[in-house]
Amino acid sequence: MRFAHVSDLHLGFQRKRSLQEAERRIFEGMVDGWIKGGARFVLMAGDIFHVNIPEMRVQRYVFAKFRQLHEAGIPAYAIYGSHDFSPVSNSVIDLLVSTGYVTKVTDAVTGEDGVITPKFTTDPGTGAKICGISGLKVGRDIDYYKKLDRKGIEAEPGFKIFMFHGSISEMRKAADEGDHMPMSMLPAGFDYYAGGHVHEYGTGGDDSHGVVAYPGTPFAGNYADFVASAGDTKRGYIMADSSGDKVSVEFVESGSPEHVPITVDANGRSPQIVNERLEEKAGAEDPVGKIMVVRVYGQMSEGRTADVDTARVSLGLLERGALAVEVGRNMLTSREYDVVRVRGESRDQIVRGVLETNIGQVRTGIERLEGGSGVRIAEELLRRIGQPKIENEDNKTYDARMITDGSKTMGLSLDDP
Amino acid sequence: MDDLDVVGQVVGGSFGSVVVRQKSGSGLEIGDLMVSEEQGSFLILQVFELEYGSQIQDRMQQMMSGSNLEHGVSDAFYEPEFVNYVLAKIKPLARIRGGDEVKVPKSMPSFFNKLRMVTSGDLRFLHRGRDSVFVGHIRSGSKVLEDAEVWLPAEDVFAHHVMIPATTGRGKSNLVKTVMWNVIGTGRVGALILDAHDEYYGRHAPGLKDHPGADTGLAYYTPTDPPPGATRLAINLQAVRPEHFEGIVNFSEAQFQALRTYHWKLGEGWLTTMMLTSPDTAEDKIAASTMGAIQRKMRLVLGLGRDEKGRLVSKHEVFDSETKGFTTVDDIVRQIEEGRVVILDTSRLGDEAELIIGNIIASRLFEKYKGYKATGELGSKPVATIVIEEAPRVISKDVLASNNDSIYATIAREGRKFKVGLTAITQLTSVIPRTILANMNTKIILGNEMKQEREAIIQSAAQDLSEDDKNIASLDKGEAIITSIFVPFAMPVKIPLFEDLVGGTRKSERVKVLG
Repeated sequence: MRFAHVSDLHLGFQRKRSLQEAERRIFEGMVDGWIKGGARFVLMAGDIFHVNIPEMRVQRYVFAKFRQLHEAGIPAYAIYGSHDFSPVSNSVIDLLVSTGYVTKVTDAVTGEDGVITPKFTTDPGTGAKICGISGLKVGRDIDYYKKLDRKGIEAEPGFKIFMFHGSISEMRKAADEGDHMPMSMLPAGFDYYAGGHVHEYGTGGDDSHGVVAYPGTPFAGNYADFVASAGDTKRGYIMADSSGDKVSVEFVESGSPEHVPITVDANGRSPQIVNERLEEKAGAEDPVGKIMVVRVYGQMSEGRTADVDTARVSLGLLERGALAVEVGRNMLTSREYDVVRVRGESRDQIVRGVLETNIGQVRTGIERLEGGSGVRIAEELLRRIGQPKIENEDNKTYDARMITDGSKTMGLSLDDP
Repeated sequence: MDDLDVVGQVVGGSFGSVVVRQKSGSGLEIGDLMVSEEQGSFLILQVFELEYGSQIQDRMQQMMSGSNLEHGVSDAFYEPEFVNYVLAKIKPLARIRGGDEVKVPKSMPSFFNKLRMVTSGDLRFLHRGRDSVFVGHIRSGSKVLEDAEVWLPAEDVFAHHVMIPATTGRGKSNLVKTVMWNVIGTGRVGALILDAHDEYYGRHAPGLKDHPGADTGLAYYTPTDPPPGATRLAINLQAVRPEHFEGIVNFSEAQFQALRTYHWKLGEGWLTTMMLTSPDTAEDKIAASTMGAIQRKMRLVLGLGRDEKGRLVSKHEVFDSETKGFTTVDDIVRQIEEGRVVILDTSRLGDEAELIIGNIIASRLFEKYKGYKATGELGSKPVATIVIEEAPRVISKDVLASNNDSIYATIAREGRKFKVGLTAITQLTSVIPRTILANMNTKIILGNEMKQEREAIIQSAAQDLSEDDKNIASLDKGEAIITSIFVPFAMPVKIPLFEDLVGGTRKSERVKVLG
C-alpha cells in the first residue's frame, strides 16, 4: 500500500505574483506526483489553505487539481489545520468535501460523559482505517486529546492511520514558545501518524506509536519558512509504503525554487557598514530565478534601523532576475534608537510577543479575555479580521462578516449590550 | 481553667527543664504540648522526658516488690495515685500574647501553676499566609490537633533550602508527595524532582497525577512507556558539557582536560565524536590510555554503546546522539519557571546518570535565574527547588573534598540569592559539611534511630533541640518536627497520609483527635 502525506500547503499565503505562481506550480506538481507515483490515497494533515476562504484565483486551480485527483481514483483524506478552519464560518475545505473531492476524517461521537470517540473512515481501495483530530483554536487541542476514548480506537483492528495537526514535544528541534504536546497524547497502536503544523520534515515514533511523520510545508507559510529553505531545509511531501507490519517513509521534494540566503550580522556595526555588507553579499550571488532571502539582525552601534536600505538591495536583485526577494529585519535594532521591544522571526511570533507584553494592562472583568487565554483570543481575532475580501464581496457584506467573526471569536453575542 | 483539664502541676526544675507532676490518668507522652496560663499571656511547653516519682523511698519500694513477688503479699497502696506518680520534664517553646503574638520565652511558668494540654484555640497564630504551603497538623505527642494546620511560607522556605533527614520507612516519600501536592497549582514554586523510584507521579497508585491542577501544574518525564500526557525522557548528548560531570564522576585531571579539549574543539557534538573516536586517534595527542579510560567510564555512567550500524546509543534510551531530546532541558527549565512541579523518572538510570541529568537541568536553571537577577526580572519568577534523594551523593564531605563542586553544592551555597534551592533528602546528615547544613534553613525531621545522625541534626537545627534526642528517636511513621527560621519554635507535626489528600480530605492518620 502506497500513500502520500502532505500538510501545511498554506495555499493563498503568497502576496507577490511571482511567488503566487510558484505556489500554484508546486501544488499542481505535487498532485501530478501523487498520481504518477502510484499513491492509493492522499493524507492532508491541515493548513491546505492559508485562510479558510482564500481568494478565487486560488480556489480555481485547487478545485481543478482535486478534480483531477478524484478522477484518477485517488481519495484525499483531510483534517483542518489552524489556518484553514473557522469555528464561526465555512471553509473552502467544506466545499471540497461537498463535491466529494476530499473526505474529512474528523467525525467523532461525544458521549454524555464527554468522552470523544473518533469514527474511522475506511479507504475503499486499501482497507486502511483513518481518523483524526483537526488543529483546534485557542489552545484547546490538548483538552480534546484528554477526552479521547483511547481504548476504543486503540482496539480497532487493521491498518490504522491517525491524522493530527500539532507539534509533538519530543520531536521538536528547538525549544520555541509555541504550543506542543507529548507524543503520549496521541492514541497508541496506530501504524502511521500523519502530522501537520510543523513546517519541517521529520519522523519519529516509539514502542507505542508506529511512524509519526511530518512532511513539512512544501513551499512556505511564513517568513521563517523562507529562512529555513535558504538553509538546509528541504521542501516536499511524504510517500509512504506499507508492507507487512512496517511503514517506510520516503521524502519527495516538491520542486520549490532555490532559496539563497543573504544574511548580515549588524551587531556593533553602523548602518553604512551594514549596507556595504548587504550590497557586497547580494552582488556575489547569482539571483536569476531564485528566491533571495535577505536577513539583517543584531544591534547596530549607531544610527537608525531605517538607515539600513534593504529596499535598494531588493530592487537590485529583482533587476538582476531574482524570482522574489524576501526581507526579514525584525531582529534588527540599534543601540541609539532601540525602539523594537518585541523580537521574533515571524509575524506570528512578533504579534504574540506584543500581546503577551501588554495583556497585563487589559482589565475587562472577563477571565477568558485576559492572561494567556486573552492572548490566544486576541491572536485569533487579529487573524479573523485580517482576512481579505472575497472576490465580488461588497463592503457591507464584508463588514458584517468581519463583525460576526470577531464577535464570535471573542465569545460575544451581537445582542450583548 | 477547668479542673478537669488539668494534666499536671509545676513542682520544680530550671529554665529549659521544668519538672511537672503528672495528674493521675492524664497519660503524658514525650512530645506532648502543654499550656501554662499566666497573666496576660500563656506559655506553650513541651514534654521531653518522663520518669517515675514516689513518696516511698527506693529501698522500701524494692522490699515491697520482693514481698509481692516472693510471698504473694498484696501490692495495693493506700491512695496509690497520691503515693506514686509520673514526673515530666518540660521546656518552654513559646510565649503567646494576645492570641497571635509569638515570642521566644525568657521566663519560667509560675511555680505550682497548673498546666493543661494545648488546644487548637491556643494555636490561632498558625494562620495560613499568602503563598504558603501546607505541611501537616500540629501534633501533641501522638495526638493530632486537626484544626491546627502548619503552613510554611513557600518562597522563603524553598529558597533557603529544605532538608529532610530520616531513615528508611519513616514516611519520606509521603512527606515529599504531601508537600508537592500542596505546591502544585500555586504557581509560586517550581520544582524538579529526580525520582529514583518512580513513585511520585503514581503510575499504578495514588500520586501527584491525581491533583486537580495536575494538567497545568505537573509535568512527568519518563523513558518508559509514558502514560497519556507524559513526555518521553530523552536528553540529546549535545546538551551535555564537561562540567556536568564535575562532582559526580571521578575523572582524573588528565581525563577532565581531554573532555574540555574535545568540547572546546568540537562544540555540541563533542561527546558523540569522543565516544566514536578510536583511542589511538584522539585529538591533541591525548594518550590512548586516557581516551580509553574516558570511553569506559562514559559507557558505564551514561549507558552508551554502539548499535549494529555503528551509531552511538544508550541502553536505557535516555541519552540520544541523533534526533531526540533537543528541547527537553529547555522545556523542563521553562516549566519550572512557570511554577510547575516536574518529575523525572530516573528509575532506569544509574546513580551517576541520574545526577548528571539533574546537573544539566539545574545548571541551565541556575544560569537563567542568575540572568534574571541581573536584569531585575527575578522578583516575578517563582522560587525553584530541586528535590534530590540521598543528597550526600553530591554534597557530602568526601565528595566535596575529592572533586570539584557540582551544581548541587553551588546551589546549596549560593542558590538562595537567586531563588534556587535544594530539597535534600538524606539518611546521613552527619556526612554533610556543617557549612552546607547551616545553609539548610528548614529541616523537616522524621524518625531516626541512629544517635550519631540525631546529634548532627540537633546541632544544625534552627531552634535549640538539645533536649529532643529522645523525642526524635521516638518519632513514629508520619510524625515530624519542623525546625526552621520561618517558624516560631520547633513544631511537632503529623504529616497527613497522602492517600487521604488524594481522596479529597486532609485528615491525618490520627490516633486521637484533640481540639
